[in-house]
Amino acid sequence: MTVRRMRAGEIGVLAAEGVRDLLGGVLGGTPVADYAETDPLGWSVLSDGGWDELGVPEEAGGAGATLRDLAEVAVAWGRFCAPAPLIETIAAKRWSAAARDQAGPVTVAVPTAAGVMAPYGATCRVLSGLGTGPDGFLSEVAGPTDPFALTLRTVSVDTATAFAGEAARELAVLWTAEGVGAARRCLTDAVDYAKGRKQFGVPIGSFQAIKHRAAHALELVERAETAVLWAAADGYAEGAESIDTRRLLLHSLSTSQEVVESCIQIHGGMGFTWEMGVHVYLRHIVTLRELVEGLLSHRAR
Amino acid sequence: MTLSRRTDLALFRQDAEQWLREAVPERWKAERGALSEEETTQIKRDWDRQLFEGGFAGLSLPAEHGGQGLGLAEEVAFHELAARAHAPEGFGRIGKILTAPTLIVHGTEDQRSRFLPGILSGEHIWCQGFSEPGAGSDLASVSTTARRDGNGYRVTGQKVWTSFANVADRCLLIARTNPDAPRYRNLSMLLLDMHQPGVVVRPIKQISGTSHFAEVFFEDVWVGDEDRLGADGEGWKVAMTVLQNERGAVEGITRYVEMRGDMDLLLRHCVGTAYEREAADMDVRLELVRWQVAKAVELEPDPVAFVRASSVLKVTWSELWQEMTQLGLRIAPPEHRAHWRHQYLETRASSIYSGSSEIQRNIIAERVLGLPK
Repeated sequence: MTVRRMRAGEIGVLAAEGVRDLLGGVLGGTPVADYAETDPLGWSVLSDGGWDELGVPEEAGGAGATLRDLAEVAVAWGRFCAPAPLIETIAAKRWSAAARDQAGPVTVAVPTAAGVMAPYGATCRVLSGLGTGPDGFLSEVAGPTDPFALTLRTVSVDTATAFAGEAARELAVLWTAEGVGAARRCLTDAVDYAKGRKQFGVPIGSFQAIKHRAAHALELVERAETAVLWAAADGYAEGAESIDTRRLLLHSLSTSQEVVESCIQIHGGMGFTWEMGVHVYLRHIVTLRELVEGLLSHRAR
Repeated sequence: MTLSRRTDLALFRQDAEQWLREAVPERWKAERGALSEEETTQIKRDWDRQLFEGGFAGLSLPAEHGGQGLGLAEEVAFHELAARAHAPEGFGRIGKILTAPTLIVHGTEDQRSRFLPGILSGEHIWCQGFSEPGAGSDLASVSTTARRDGNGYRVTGQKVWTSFANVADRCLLIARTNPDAPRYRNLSMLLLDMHQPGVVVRPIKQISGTSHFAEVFFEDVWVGDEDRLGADGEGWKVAMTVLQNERGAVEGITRYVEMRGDMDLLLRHCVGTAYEREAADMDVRLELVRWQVAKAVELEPDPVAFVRASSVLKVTWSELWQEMTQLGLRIAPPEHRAHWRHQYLETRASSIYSGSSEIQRNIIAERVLGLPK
């Protein structure tokens, strides 16, 4: 086993804590279904705190966060399924000088099996290239927003961003980490529900069938997290690892998806209602998987 | 031993790798499956002594108690390298992993000085007398009794699933000493001398045909007060310390290496078949076991997180191994049929021993997720 730390550095730990505090302050206690279709976070809330510049490299005046640090932030961010382009903008500003000159949010356009998709494409500028040298923005020819992706708001566009291999890899890692955060939060909600919901005079969480389902879901979350943390670890070397990034990330996202499916079951009849909101996590993770698969299948160079 | 071992994990690994290359007996490397039982036993006994002389016994035990004073990371690294080097497994596991740390927490000065040196040197072999026919997952209901007799006890009863019982010098044994006291206050932990009349060991043949365990019968077997670990009636508390040591990272990494061998074989069988994807998915899950171990090691200082990591690890590797052997059994070419049949039967036990999947999931649900009992 290569000697390699699984833990994030100080920057990552502190920033993740900051993101949790920030989102906890604005969205904490509000069911995800209440804000999934609104705009609960103004962009200035994120940009005033400099959260969108977390990944800017040292040579461009940033703090030197590693991919592992940013993954820590993405897990924390993912817990809330907040409908705002923070992760996309962090990746953009890490890899593109043009993005760093922008005050507002920036996104990318990913070639997927269902066409080219830009998350939050209706409210962001879309980069023409990420990590491919001097880059600018695509002229805005935006199509319809996909109603399935409530909290990622993907827009069909004509042209894809040109990605450098490592830039695509990093963004894919961060999106996957976001998926792990969503899965973990969803399990926390399901466990809370099982503690409160009574049938036959007792909390359903006291039944071993529910306990073992929840325990198995935790096993899955841990595995999904381990997969993405491995891909995010300092010194991960594509080609020299026993499992490549693409397999790790798709495994992680499929596993996160399985967690949410199980959480719907724990919520019983409420699980498949729109208002309970478990579907928000599911839609989020399914869409992330489409984006990651597209990003790693079609990536240039 | 060199100073580098204490300062740098990468250097520790280098030292260990080099030592293992020279220390693992050639006969064992080449013919371990074909050796006589007598020779196998001799090699394993010698191995415990070699570990001690090489400075690799008790890696994570404190130096003041004769250990090497290193951490879990080194312990895990050494077990991984030893498994890769096809090193023998000695007879010292129960003594080193269970008895020694428990002696350090609950033992008297006299007990530590009598027992720790023999455990570390490999001279004294220990077995664990916990499970009984009527007390498996529900350990507190053991019925083996230790009746008060002068300055000690007389032990009568039966233990089961006891590894190393046929070669053990001592047994770390939990018995009922206070029949009238309430549950959890009626047990004591005893350090029973196995070389006494009244101790009968019978190997248990498992479904694979092999025998890794034994059942042990005790009839009026003497244990003096000086060989009781912890106070009379406090056996449950002591047992909890033992069980905390039992699970986790070291077992996880050892299994990983064994499973890796099976996985490589499975992937070869599956090339170009309809099972290729299924095997590839298992391969990802197996490699993640290795990283889950790394995660568990880093989480060690946080008790709740460590329970989570080690319980998750146990169900994860044991159930994956079962799936692997199911697939192997189904698709094995004739020359590997015997191997997969054996592994298939052998791994039925893996989700049962060291805390069954059901018990692990109860622990995860109640102690980690906080679901009501």
